[in-house]
Amino acid sequence: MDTEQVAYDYDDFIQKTGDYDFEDDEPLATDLIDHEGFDEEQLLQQQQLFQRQIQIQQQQAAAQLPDAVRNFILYFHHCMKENNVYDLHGCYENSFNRLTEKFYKNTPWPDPHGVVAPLVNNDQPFVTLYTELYYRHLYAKLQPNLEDRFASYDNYCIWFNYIFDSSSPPELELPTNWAWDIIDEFIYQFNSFALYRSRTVRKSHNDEEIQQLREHPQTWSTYTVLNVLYSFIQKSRMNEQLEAIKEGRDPDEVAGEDGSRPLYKTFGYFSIIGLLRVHTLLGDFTLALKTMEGIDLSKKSKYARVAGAQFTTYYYVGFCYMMMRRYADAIKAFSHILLYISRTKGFHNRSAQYDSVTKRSEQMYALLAICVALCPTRLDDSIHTTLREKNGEQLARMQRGGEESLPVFEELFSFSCPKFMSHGPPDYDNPANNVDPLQHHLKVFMMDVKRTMLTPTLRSYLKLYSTMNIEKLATFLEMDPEELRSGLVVFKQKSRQVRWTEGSLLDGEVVNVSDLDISLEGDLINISEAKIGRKFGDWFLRNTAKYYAVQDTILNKNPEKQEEKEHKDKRRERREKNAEKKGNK
Amino acid sequence: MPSLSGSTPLSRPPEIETILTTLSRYNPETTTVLQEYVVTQCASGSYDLMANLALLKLYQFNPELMRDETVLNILAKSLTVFPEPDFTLALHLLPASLLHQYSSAASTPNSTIPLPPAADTDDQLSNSVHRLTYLNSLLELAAFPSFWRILSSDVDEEYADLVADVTGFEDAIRRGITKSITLSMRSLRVETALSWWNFTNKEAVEQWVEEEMPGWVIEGDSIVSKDEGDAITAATSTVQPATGKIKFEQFSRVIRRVYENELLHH
Repeated sequence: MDTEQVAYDYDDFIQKTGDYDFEDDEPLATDLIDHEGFDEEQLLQQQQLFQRQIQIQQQQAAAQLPDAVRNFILYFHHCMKENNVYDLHGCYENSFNRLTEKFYKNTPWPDPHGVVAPLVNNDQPFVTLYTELYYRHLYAKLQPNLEDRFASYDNYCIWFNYIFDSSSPPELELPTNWAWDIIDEFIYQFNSFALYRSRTVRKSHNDEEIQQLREHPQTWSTYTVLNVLYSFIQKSRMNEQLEAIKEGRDPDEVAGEDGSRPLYKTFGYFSIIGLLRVHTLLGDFTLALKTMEGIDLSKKSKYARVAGAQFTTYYYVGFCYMMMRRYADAIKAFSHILLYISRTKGFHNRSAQYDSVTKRSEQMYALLAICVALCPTRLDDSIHTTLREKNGEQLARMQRGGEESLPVFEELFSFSCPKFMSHGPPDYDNPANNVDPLQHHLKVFMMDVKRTMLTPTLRSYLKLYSTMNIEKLATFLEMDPEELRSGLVVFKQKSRQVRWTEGSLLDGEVVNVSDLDISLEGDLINISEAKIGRKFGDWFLRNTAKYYAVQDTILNKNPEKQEEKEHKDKRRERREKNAEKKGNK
Repeated sequence: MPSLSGSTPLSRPPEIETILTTLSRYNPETTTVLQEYVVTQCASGSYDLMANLALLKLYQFNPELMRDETVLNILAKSLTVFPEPDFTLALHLLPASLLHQYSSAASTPNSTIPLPPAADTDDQLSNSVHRLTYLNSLLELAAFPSFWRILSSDVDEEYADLVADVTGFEDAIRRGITKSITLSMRSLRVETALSWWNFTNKEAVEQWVEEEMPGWVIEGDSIVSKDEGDAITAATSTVQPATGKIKFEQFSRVIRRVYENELLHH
């Protein structure tokens, strides 16, 4: 396949991103007919025959198309032409999912080129958009093979080329959550492809596929993905706009002509979050957080309403903090989003992404458990309760420290970490040399964990005393006193972390995050503990409200329940009377 | 010198700043500039985390450009800023195969200090990375006497070689150790201090304390902090009082309910 637009090394990359001028590049159309070695007449005949065949196929396919689907496609197309964002949103959010449930639960949607294109008179932008949905559905419900993956990649290239066409930028405006889904899916497919490729090379013996992979290194290459994301950010001058907003200026002043268009703005903003994700997948946690420096998470921008984007952002931000050992910040990020999810549970039940949200929240609970084990903190009550429900036993084992805790850390980490990938193509010739990136990152993470194994035991002893002699503690722990001295230094060090207070995500100041503080004087350990008094006011109010709710149920506020209650009472009375009679006899 | 990851060190030259803030950070040709910058850092004692990580990322994208020496120097440099997580962050960006065969050797019973890594692999770079990782473990565990012992080991001179390019390595480590000491202690026996700082006589300790530790003096056979501010005693145990303040708005539900009840019953 001819994919010249694609950047597969740095020179291409900088050229494409630098002046994002795709006019000179050839379109990606594949030739259906090989022109070489045919004379005119034969060629014409061949063409006609071919066209006729295609027409017949199309008619057949079109005939099998359910009416509802056909109408949907036409209406969809109509909305897009009219640039009716509101209805487009409805189509996307509701109708598409409903029809998928009804007709295409386990089969792909109608073929974009064969069936849908003729319906809309080959309106290319629409077909491309539809194809995106088609493949998204395929990846989600079915198993895409190598050909599908190549094809979906080409479709993305077409779509992005269309958007980046500076000579006639599209007037199109997509609903924000659709724009987010496109970016999200793009990166997901990129990730999925890398995993598929390394799996194929490592395990399968499908030489043909391996050969194809070898021959197309630029398909789904990291440079391409980065190219797209950076181009969006540059084209919309998103970083400048964000800076202007922070300083209280009008972002449109710095946005430039393209940056003011809603389509570019939306994609520009979401590309920043996309970069956060891509950098994390490649193991560069600092750069990931640095890329987010323009975005102020505490502010509610209009993009914050896209729930999917919020979940992704907080998950990756929290994860990066955790890998940088800023556990307090990680805990804050996870708690924030988990609270949000639990409060908006009602909404998500109906959304098509319910499964992915649930999975994400399970992963975040697991990561939260790890962070709490490594940095004991008080959590919000509801989060704490749910955490105990889901990961209570694992949390307890991790908090006990020692050798037995290590497998639990590994298990939870492997379950909840992002699907790490390596940048470039794998070593095709020596498949055994390819190490799974997940194992690598897990190993480095576990090295950190192993160094804190002593801490929980230390804590339990230190809590009991206000002063203690090193020799004595060493006897308790059956350790060498000098080694214990080192252990206490480590303990103290671990209680000092960088915590975010203001500014960009990477900023922060060193604070004490532990409730237990120590100081060594020669061989004497001084211990101080900060106890927080229980906040009972809030607890009482909440329970008072609950009590009233119970009262309501018992009294006649709820007529059905009241009937049931009366029924039960009558039955009880009858039973009692019978028992009395029996007793009297 | 703390290296809060996001901040820009004063020693960073403007062309490096340009590289890091634009797309040239992805340009393979920038590796030469960044490599030279690593050499500068090693020679002058400055340190720039973001630049070093950017170089490691370039190596990730262009494995054929990777220079063993530079990688090892970056790792050695990040040892000097312990207990910052810089070393770990660098490890994440290295090729997975380098650490694949590293095993954190099981420690002897009753000791938390691990043994040096086991048998060598075929790859020289892997072996060196393993050694540096082991040194990092020792520092993270505050096992300073062991650290110095391994570093100056006659049996395995590789360790000393690995950090030889970094000028002032030993003093930088000593400063890190000093930080740990001032953080967690108010007095320390000179005898222990000798082994922790790898000094051979008491005069060296005295000199170090005088130069590097303001507020600390030698008293008898210990070095002691004279700064009362950080004292932690039983007296510093705090009990935060239960917040007696409750905002009036929180009562709103209860009050409304009571009000409704009153209406119903009249």
